[in-house]
Amino acid sequence: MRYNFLLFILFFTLVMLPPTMSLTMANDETRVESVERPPLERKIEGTDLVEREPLERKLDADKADWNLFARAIERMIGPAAPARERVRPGALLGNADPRLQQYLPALNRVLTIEIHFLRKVADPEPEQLEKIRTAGSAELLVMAGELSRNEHGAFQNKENGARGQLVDVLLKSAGDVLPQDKYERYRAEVRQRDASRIRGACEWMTMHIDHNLSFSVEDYGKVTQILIEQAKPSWSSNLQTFMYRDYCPLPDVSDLEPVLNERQKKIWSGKSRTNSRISFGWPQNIGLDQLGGGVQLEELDDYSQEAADE
Amino acid sequence: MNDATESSVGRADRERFRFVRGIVGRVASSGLIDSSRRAFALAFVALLFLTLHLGAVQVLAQPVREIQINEQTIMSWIFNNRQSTDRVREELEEIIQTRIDLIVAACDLTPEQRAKLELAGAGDIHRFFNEYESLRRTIRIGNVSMEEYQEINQKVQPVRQKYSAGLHSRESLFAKAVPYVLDATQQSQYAEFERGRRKRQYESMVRGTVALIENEVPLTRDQREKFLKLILAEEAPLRVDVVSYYHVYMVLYRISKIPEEQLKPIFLENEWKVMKPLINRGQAYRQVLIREGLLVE
Repeated sequence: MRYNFLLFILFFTLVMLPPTMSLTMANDETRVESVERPPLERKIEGTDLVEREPLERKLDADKADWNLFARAIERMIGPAAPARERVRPGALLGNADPRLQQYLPALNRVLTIEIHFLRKVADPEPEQLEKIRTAGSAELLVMAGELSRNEHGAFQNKENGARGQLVDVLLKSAGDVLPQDKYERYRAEVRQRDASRIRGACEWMTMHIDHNLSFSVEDYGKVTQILIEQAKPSWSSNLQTFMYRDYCPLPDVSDLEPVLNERQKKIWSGKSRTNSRISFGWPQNIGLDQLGGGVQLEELDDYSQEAADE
Repeated sequence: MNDATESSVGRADRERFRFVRGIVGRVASSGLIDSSRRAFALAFVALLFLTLHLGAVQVLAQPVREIQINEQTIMSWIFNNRQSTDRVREELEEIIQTRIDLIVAACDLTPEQRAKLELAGAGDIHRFFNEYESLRRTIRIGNVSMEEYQEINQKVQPVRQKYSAGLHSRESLFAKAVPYVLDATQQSQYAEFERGRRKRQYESMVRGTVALIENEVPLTRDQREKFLKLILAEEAPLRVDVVSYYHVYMVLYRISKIPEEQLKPIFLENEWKVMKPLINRGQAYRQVLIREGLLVE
C-alpha cells in the first residue's frame, strides 16, 4: 500500500515536473523581455526607512566621513536625508544590494590597483588614505549600480571609461585631503599614464593603417602624431579594441590628408572602417582580464621608500 | 488503446504506453483511488501523456533554420563587405604599388626592375583570385542549413584571413622576387630601410602592450621609461609585418627573454609578483606565435 502510494507520487512528479518547469522558465523569459527591471534607486527609495536605519546602526562613527558617501549616493538616488551618523565603507559595500554584489569584487580589484598607484606616487598619511579610499569605495557602488542597469553598455557614454570615472573621484578626493605637492605629483602621474594609454592606442592604430599604406619611418611617426593630436579620451578606455583591425576605430582620409600621397588616399578611402563600439564583456570594460597573468595586485604595507625615490 | 492503434506508433511510444499502463494499473490496484475516481484518474493520466506527446511532435515539427547564400554574401564575407571584385582587384594593385614606392624610397629602381616587381605583385593577385574562384565554386548558392553554413564558414576563413593579412607577406611572390630584382647595393639599402621600419612597428607593438599591462600594474613615468627602454633595446623581431592580436603575446614573449635581474629592479615587490606570471604567458604562447607566423626561430 505504502509502496504503491510512493510509486504514484514518483510517477506524478516525473510526469508533472518537466512541463511545469518549462512553463515557469518560459514565463520568466517573457517577463524579462517585456518588463524592465525596477531600477535600484527606486528600491532604495522605497525602502528608505527600513533599509537605512539598520545600516546606519552598523556604522563605525570614528572611521569615515558620511559626506563622501552622501555625495555618491546622491548621484544614485538624488539628495539624501540629512545624515545623523558617520559611515564606514566596508559596511556600506557589505550591505549593498545583492544585484550589485556580483560586480564589487572586480571593481574592488580596480580600486586596489588605483590605490596602489596613489600610494606609490604620493604616499598619503593613513588618515588621508582612508578618506580617499572611502571616496573610491563609494564610487564603486555607483559604478556597480551602472553595471547592474546596463552590464555591457555601462560607461560607454563616459569619455574616459570606467577606470577614468573612478580615478576622477580619487583625484578629487586627493585634492581635498593631500598636501599640494603630493596632490600635484599624483595628478601629474595620472596624466602621464593617460597620455601613455592614448599613445599606445594611437601606435596600434598606425600599425593597422601602415599594413595597407606602407609608410616610411618618417611618415609613420607623422601619422602617429596626427592621431595623438586628434585623440579622443574614449580611446584610452578599452585598449583591447585597438588590438583588432576589424574593431579598431580608424581615421578618415581627411584626418591623414597632410601625410598621405594620392595612391594612399585612394586605398584608404576605399577601406571599410567601423564606428560602432564593441564590448568584450564588462570586466574588460573596466580594464580587467585583458592579459590575465592570474595573480592579483595586493597593496604593500609601506610605500614610504618608493614615494621618496620618485 | 487497441492493437491497431498501438501498432501505428513507434517502438519507443509502445514502451512508453506499457510504462504508463503499468503505473496506472498499479495505482488502480493499490486501492489508493476508489473505483468511482478511477475513470477520472485514467483520463487525467491519458491527458497528460497526450500533452507530452503533442509537445514532442511540436518540437520535432519546428522548421529548420536556413541561411540564404548568394554571390554577394560570399564576396562580403571575404572582402570585408566589399561588393565588387573589380574594386578589390584595383585596390590590391594599388597596395602593391605602394610597396614598390616604399622600395623606391629606400633605393632607386630602374623601369625594368619596377616592371619585374609589378609582375610579381600581379602574380600574387592572380594567385589569390584563383583561390577565391575555386572556393566560390565549392559553395552552394541558395538556402543552406546551419550545419552547412558552419562548414562553409570554415572553408571561407583561410581565404578571408589571407585577404586581411595582405598579399605581400614574406611568402608572396613579390617578397621572394625582391632579392632577385635588386642588386647588392640596393639590397643593402633596402634591408637597412626595412630594419628601420620594423623597429618603428615594433615600438608600436611595445607601447600598446605596456599600456595594456598598466591595467594590472600601473607604472610611474620613471618606471615606464625604464621598462620601454629595456624592451626596445632588443632587436625588433623579424615578423612585425603580420598584424594580429597575438602581437601582444609576441611582446610578452620577447620580454620573457630579458634577464630577470634587469627587469625585476624596475618593479616594486608586489608588482613583480603580478608581472612575473604575466610575462610567462608570453612563453606559453610560443607555439601559437610560431603557428601564426609571428615568431621565426
